[in-house]
This record gives sequence, C-alpha cells and structure tokens, in this order.
Amino acid sequence: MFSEDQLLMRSTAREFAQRELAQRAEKIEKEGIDNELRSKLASAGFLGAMLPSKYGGSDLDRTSFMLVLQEISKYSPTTALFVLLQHSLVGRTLIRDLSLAESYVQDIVSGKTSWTLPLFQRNLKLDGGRIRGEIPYLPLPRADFLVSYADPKTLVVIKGGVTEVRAHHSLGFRGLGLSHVSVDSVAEKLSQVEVDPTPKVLDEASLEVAAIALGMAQASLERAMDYSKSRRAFNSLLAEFQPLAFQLLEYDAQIKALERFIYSIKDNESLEAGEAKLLSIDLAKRMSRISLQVHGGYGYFEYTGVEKFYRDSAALEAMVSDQVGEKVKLSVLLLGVEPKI
Amino acid sequence: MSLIPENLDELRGKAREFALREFTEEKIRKYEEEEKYPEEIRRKAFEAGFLDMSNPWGMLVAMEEFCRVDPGLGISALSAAFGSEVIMLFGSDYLKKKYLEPVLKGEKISGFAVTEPSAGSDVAGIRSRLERRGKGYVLNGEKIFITNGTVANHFYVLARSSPPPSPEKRHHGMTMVVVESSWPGFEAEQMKGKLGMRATSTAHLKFRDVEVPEENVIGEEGKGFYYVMTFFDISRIHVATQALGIAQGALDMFTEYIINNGLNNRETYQFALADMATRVHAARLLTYDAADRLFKFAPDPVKTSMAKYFAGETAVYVTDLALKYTGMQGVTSKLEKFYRDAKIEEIWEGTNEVEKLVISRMLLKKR
Ligand SMILES: Cc1cc2nc3c(=O)[nH]c(=O)nc-3n(C[C@H](O)[C@H](O)[C@H](O)COP(=O)(O)OP(=O)(O)OC[C@H]3O[C@@H](n4cnc5c(N)ncnc54)[C@H](O)[C@@H]3O)c2cc1C
Repeated sequence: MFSEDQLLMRSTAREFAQRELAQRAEKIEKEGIDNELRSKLASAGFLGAMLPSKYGGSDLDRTSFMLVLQEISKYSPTTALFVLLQHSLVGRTLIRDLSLAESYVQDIVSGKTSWTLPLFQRNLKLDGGRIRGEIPYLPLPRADFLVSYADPKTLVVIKGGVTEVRAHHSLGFRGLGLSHVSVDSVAEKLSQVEVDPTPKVLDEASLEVAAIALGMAQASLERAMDYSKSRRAFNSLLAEFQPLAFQLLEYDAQIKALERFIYSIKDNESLEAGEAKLLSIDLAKRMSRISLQVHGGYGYFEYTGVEKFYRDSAALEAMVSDQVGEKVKLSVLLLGVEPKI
Repeated sequence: MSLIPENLDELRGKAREFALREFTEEKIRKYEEEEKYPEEIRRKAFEAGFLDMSNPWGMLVAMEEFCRVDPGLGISALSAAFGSEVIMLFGSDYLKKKYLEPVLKGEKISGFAVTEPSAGSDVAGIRSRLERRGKGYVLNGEKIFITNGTVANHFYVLARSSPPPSPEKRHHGMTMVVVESSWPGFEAEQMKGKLGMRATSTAHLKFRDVEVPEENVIGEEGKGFYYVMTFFDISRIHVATQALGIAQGALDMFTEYIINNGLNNRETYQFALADMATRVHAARLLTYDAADRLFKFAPDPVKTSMAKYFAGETAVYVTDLALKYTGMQGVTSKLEKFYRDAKIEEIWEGTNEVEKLVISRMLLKKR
C-alpha cells in the first residue's frame, strides 16, 4: 500500500510521537503547544510537510503527510490538528501569493513564530489600513500572527490587536484553545486575487482529517487491546470475555478496511474523500467510546489517556463539517439530486 | 396506565424550579472548573426538602429534574446520603442512630466504598482485609473512585474478613463496616481530571491499620457481598434516573436549537428528535417501572438492571446525537458538558456489561 519513502516517513513520525508526545500529551492539553514543541515539529519537517524544499518545506506527497498526521494523532490529536492548521496556512492560504508572503511562510515552516486562522466564518471589515470585527471561533487565540480573509478576495495578516471576548469551553483539542475574539488592528494585505472564499480551512483537507481520525481510532483500539490483556476480572483477563474480544475484533476489521479505503483515494475533492472523512470520524467516535468503556473507571480519568479521544473525535466532527451541509454536498455527488427536505 | 403517581407534578415542578434557580451557568462552570463539591448547593437542596428518603418518588423525580439542568451539581446535591440504604436495611439500631440519623438530618455526608484498584466489576475480587483484633477489627486496604470521598464523614466499606471457602464461593467471607473519616489510619486523596461530573467528589481512600469497633459491623459478618448487591438493586434505579435526566436535558437543548434555528421543517432534525424522544420515553418507562416495583417492596433486579443499562446508554446516545447536529454551537455549549457527564452512566454502579450479566443470569436462573 505504501512506498518505501512513505514507510520511512511513517516510522519517523511514529518515533517522533513516541519520543516527544507520549509523555507530554496531557501537558499539551493543559498548557498548549509551546515554542519548544513547535520548533521540534518544525525541525522534523512537519510544519511545511508538503511544501517545496525551496521554501523550507519537506516536499512530501499527501500520503506521507497523512501518515505523519495519523501517527501524531495516536498520541496527541491536538498536535496533529495543530500541524494541519499550520500546514493549511502555508499550503492553502499564504502560498497562493508567495511574492507577498514568502518571509511569513518561512517563519511558519521553521516554527519561528506561531500562527492561526479562523475555523469558520469571520466578520471582519477593512477600513483604510485597519481591520475590525469579530471571529467567533479562533483556535490558538494567542498566536503571534493571525491570517484571515477580510473579504473573499483579500487575505490579510494581522499582528496584535486581537482581544479575547470569550474563551469557549470546548469539548476537544483543549491544547489549541478556542476563543471568540474581537479584532482591531493594522492589517497587512497579502492578496487581492480571486481565491476560494470558503471560510472553512479544513473543508479542503478531507483526507488529512480522515487520517487524524483514523489515528485516534487506531490508538483507542490499541490501548483497549493492551488493557484487555493485562486487566483481570472474575479470575480472567478481560480479553477472555467473548463480547469484549469480539467487539475489538470487529473494530480491528473496520479500522483496517477504512485505512485501505482512505489511502486508496487520490482526489481530496472527491466524493470518496468526503465519505472517508465522515466514516473515519464516526469510527473514531465509536471506537473511543468502546476503549473508554473497556478501561472501566480508569477510562473516565484524563491520566489514563483514552478519554481525550472520546472528546476530540466528537469535537472534530463539529470542527470540520456542518453535518448536514457536508452530507448534502456529498449526496449531490452521489445521486445527482439535492436532498433539500 | 401511568407508572408514576399523579401527585408528583407539584414536586417535579418544585425540583425543576429549584434547579433552574440554583444551578446557574456561572455556578455550573465554577464547580466544574475547580472540581469542587458544591456544599452550598447540597445544603440548600436539603433545606428545600429534596433529600427526603421517606418520599422515594419525590427523590427520584428530583434527581431527574436536577440532572436535567446539571448532572454534576444535581448528583452531588442528592447523593449526600449515598449508601445509607445498607444501614436502613441491615444496620443495627445503634448504627442507625449514630450514622443514619445525622445523614438524614443533613448534618453529615456518607459514602459507599467497594471498588479497589484491582477490582471493580468483580466485587468478590477485592483485597481489603478486615481482621479481628481484641474485641474489634483492624482494616487495611485501598478503595478507588469513591464518590463523596473527600467530603463524607463516614463510609460503608466492604472488606474481606475470611478467605473464600472455595473458588466458586469467592463472594463469601466479606463484611461491611462503617468507617469514620476522622479515624487514625484513614486517608482520602481527591482524584482530579475526570471526563465529566467534576462537581462530584471522587477519591482514592487508604486504610492503614484502621481500628474498627465491633458494633460498626453492618448486619452479619461474612454477608457483605449480599448487602452490596442488595444496595445496587436500589441504587441502580437512582443511577438510571440520573441518566434519564441527562438524556432529557440534552433533548431539551436540541429541541431549543431546532426552534431557534428555524429547522422545524427539516427531516434530518425531525428524525433525530424523534429518535431521541422515543428512547428517552422508553428509558423513563423502564426506570419508573423498576422504581414502582422497588417502592412497593417487590424489587426486580432484572428490571432494575434493564433500566440502568438502557438509560445509561440512552444518555450517551442522546447527548451524542444532539452534539452531532448542533456542530460548533453544541461543542461549545452546555451540551458538551452533558456529553462528558453522560459517559459515567455506562460505568458506575455496574457497567453496561455487568448489567447484561445480571439480566441474563437472572432470566436463566428463573427457568
Ligand atoms: C466517577 C466515578 C465514581 C465512582 N464512585 C464509586 C463509589 O462511590 N463507590 C464505589 O465502590 N465505586 C465507585 N466507582 C467505581 C465504579 O463502580 C467502577 O469503576 C465500575 O464498577 C467498573 O469497575 P472497574 O473500573 O474496576 O472496571 P473493570 O471491572 O476492570 O472492567 C473493565 C471493563 O471490563 C468489562 N468487564 C468486566 N467483567 C466483564 C465480563 N465478565 N464480561 C464482559 N465484560 C466485562 C467491564 O464492563 C468494563 O468495560 C466510581 C467510578 C467512577 C469513575
């Protein structure tokens, strides 16, 4: 299924995750991604994964990038989403007008400064050289720079002047933070070109999101399997109870099938990519619920490290898609008819 | 036929009013963030008459209505007498006077300590030891995940008092005792970082050579396992009710979302709503049916476990579906807390799997 280069990338990412994230994951949820981790992610080449090397990128193909996200997500979905967000910034947003943004791109890829962008709609207006307005859902609200569209054609970089109106109590990805902010700042215009006005950065990254969800499902399964082979009840290992074992078996099959499906898709805009995303998030949700359950009372505590998959998978579902809108779009691709009712 | 006595409407209304007034958004978040037991709210709920064990339907309805507004605060407010049923049913007059009365008067808080680091579902697998010494006993061991652990004045503790007579009779030789938290050798450490229910106190208890006087043995020595199971047949109805309240609360929020966003005519939302409402209704019928039997002194463990299992699953199902269709609004609103709170209902007081074991074993035994 994978080339040698891709397998190498996967093992690099796996080692990175085990070394840098396994012990730190709980701290990341509480304190966020600090400069040190950001530098390490940059040094590993993850922040500019698919960018050409002349901009400091790693020149990876999408499959390799997905493998990186999947491995990181197994330990820290927050970090995986962070990497995807940084990548979306450079790969999908700034890179479109490199003549203006080249120095910024290098800052992001090298982890020198921290960046963010609105997840959904924003209500910003350019007024002379200033930009004002509100952003209801901003991850990484304390990042050094904010990149946003001021209108469908104008991309701006905002430094400073971002005030937190309210920190959301967010279900998942707590290490990223999520705030409603108001903006009143000097704006540097980056582009005045026709760009895709879609407000949802993660919309164009179905396969990357699917890889993150797949990582969560796999990690949840692996932890449940490990635990079931060490925990005893009624003089037996948990793995010896048929309903528990059969459930893990069933999910192992589903995860393997999904992995093949995801990595067989070439086009991120295709029906299949959308389906893979929805399916993998759903699987991550169901698998994490089972994993938590297998861990019994321990599963309900953060220190066990499985409840975060339960929260993050449900949060991911909300962050990346409006369930209905997304499904309407995909149904049209499938049926050629718009389900409106 | 309605399973619930009609005269409960007024009590239900009173409970809902109390919860809406006292469980403000600010307090809900404060106790959750600080992971603090809401003593002030417990007191008020007691003074308002909601912790009245002589009125079991009243307590049940209050639990449902409280959890419908906020599960963490609701459970803390109404579980101050946790475990007291074992004293009511099996305790001596001395124990009733010394430990039950102050709890029923709202002066003291109790806890029920069975689970240990290495044994939860498998109650007979616990390792705490109760050994005779002189006229009394000495208790050694650990308990984990104990609700009210940092706030209770005393605990009903299960420990092994003699080795099992045979591998098949592991549940023999276990004894329940009352242990006060002020006694030497007792230690409670709060367990922080729960997925949900953060306003409930959860602790890791340690007993090091704790001296327990003979009169603190509940009922007969060696019968502790039986008392625990009898207790579960009662408490699981209350847990089913918590879950029912959570599911109803999520359904309320979802309904409001549909209306506020003008989605009444969209089938996706209509179907989701119908799905949730049907399950909530089924969970309510199962729960009230089990409660009705218990309150008529004819508890049916099969029906009780069915109610607990189904209601717990329904709480998770409904909160999940509601989140799915409310998107970012949902995951940043009170609904996200309900989603986290709900999951415990599939675990405590017998996991879903344990409930299924109870149901099927009893059904097969009857034949
Ligand atoms: C917040 C919280 C509060 C709690 N409060 C209290 C309290 O006040 N007092 C108290 O005594 N306990 C309390 N508990 C403990 C709770 O009751 C136990 O966690 C629960 O009974 C499960 O036990 P366990 O955690 O040891 O899981 P285990 O028994 O180790 O079970 C692990 C998994 O294996 C499954 N399993 C076990 N046996 C079988 C089988 N035969 N077949 C199939 N599957 C099986 C279980 O269903 C579960 O999914 C609390 C727990 C929490 C999280």
